Amino acid sequence: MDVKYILPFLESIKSVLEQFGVDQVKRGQLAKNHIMHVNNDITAVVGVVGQVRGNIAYSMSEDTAQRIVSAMMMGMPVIELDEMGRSAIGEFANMVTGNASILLSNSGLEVDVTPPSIIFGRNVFFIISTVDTIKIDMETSLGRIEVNIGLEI
Amino acid sequence: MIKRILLVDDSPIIHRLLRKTLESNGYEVCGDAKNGREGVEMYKSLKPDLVFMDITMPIMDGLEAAKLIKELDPQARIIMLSAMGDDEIVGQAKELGIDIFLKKPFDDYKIISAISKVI
Amino acid sequence: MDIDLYQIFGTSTKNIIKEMLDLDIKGMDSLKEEPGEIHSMGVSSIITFAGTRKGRLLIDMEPGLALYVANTLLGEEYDNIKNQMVLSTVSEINNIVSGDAVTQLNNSYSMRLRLAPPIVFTGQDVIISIPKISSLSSWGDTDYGRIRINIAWEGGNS
Repeated sequence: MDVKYILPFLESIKSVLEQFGVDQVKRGQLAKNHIMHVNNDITAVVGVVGQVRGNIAYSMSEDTAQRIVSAMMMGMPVIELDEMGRSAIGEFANMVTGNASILLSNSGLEVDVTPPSIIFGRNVFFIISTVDTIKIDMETSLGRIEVNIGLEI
Repeated sequence: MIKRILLVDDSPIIHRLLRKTLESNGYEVCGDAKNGREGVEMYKSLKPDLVFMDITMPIMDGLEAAKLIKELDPQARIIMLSAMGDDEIVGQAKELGIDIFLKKPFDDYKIISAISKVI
Repeated sequence: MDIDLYQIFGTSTKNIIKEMLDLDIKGMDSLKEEPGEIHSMGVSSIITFAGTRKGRLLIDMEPGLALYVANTLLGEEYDNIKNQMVLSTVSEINNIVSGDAVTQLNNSYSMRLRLAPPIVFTGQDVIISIPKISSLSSWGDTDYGRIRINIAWEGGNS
């Protein structure tokens, strides 16, 4: 998987979080995996179809998810992730992936984003692609977001 | 002579199932390619008697790979084996001169009777 | 058309499990609205698709059924559902079921749907939620454990 297809997703996390007033977003280590082992509480997965096909998973702790939802709701305190909060995390994943798909289309690749699914639970083993996935930790002032990208290109 | 068959599919499960079917019916699996590009490369080096080709795969899809193989060798024998098989996809495969289009799932009978029609 | 968009997945699931494994699924005849959250029974696989509409199929199996499916198809004796080949088998079943159902929907209703790759997962106390989309579930029983499918379409099931 060419890094030029990964950058739009990382750029998008940054720009979506910036829209909610979060300005500290740093890219951490990159790693390659086949089976993806997530020890976070929450994983939002979004698919893409079209000229690029694949899945992107965003994993985070419940605390981080609550802080993201709070930032999305202009600082409204969030003490538990209820249905509205889960919906907001799905929306966050959708926004990031949708934004990335616009960046991809600017470079000539038309893609469509599919509905997000949110998976709760610890110690979860995932396979999201028949190819290796690239894992990148995004360190933000709201906490770490682990991004796993499995694009079949 | 034992017929040599190249398998092109991104799913390790499909490779296992096809190999089981083919070997127990006296065919040789001469190569396992995980995507279309590998399939084209392996076609060149292995010169198989027949190719089983998936469609939706990373790096290069099966329609593109089948087209390249047919350009290299117009006599190439290719059976498409795909989970998706709507009119649009089957139409595209026909235009490429694909011998047979099979939709997954498959059993021994479906595979063996398709092979006997092309080689 | 609308109820067809849901029912076709149940029919494809039953047919494909029967064809690949010679295994009967009892039940799976009716669809019931899901109240939002789905508790995974063991191994779950999701395929999403997009065309003129967007949707998702979840296939959820009890551990015993997932192991039976993998062991029967591959001729192995796996005993751990975290095994990569077990997970990949459930994923492949979903790929074939979704491919079958979506092929029919494309041909009948020109929906031009394309599948994203399957995802599959297993873990402790896993809950799946799909925000903002109502979904319908259907349960079935086999000799080796239960299976559930859940179908969601954006724009609802009016």
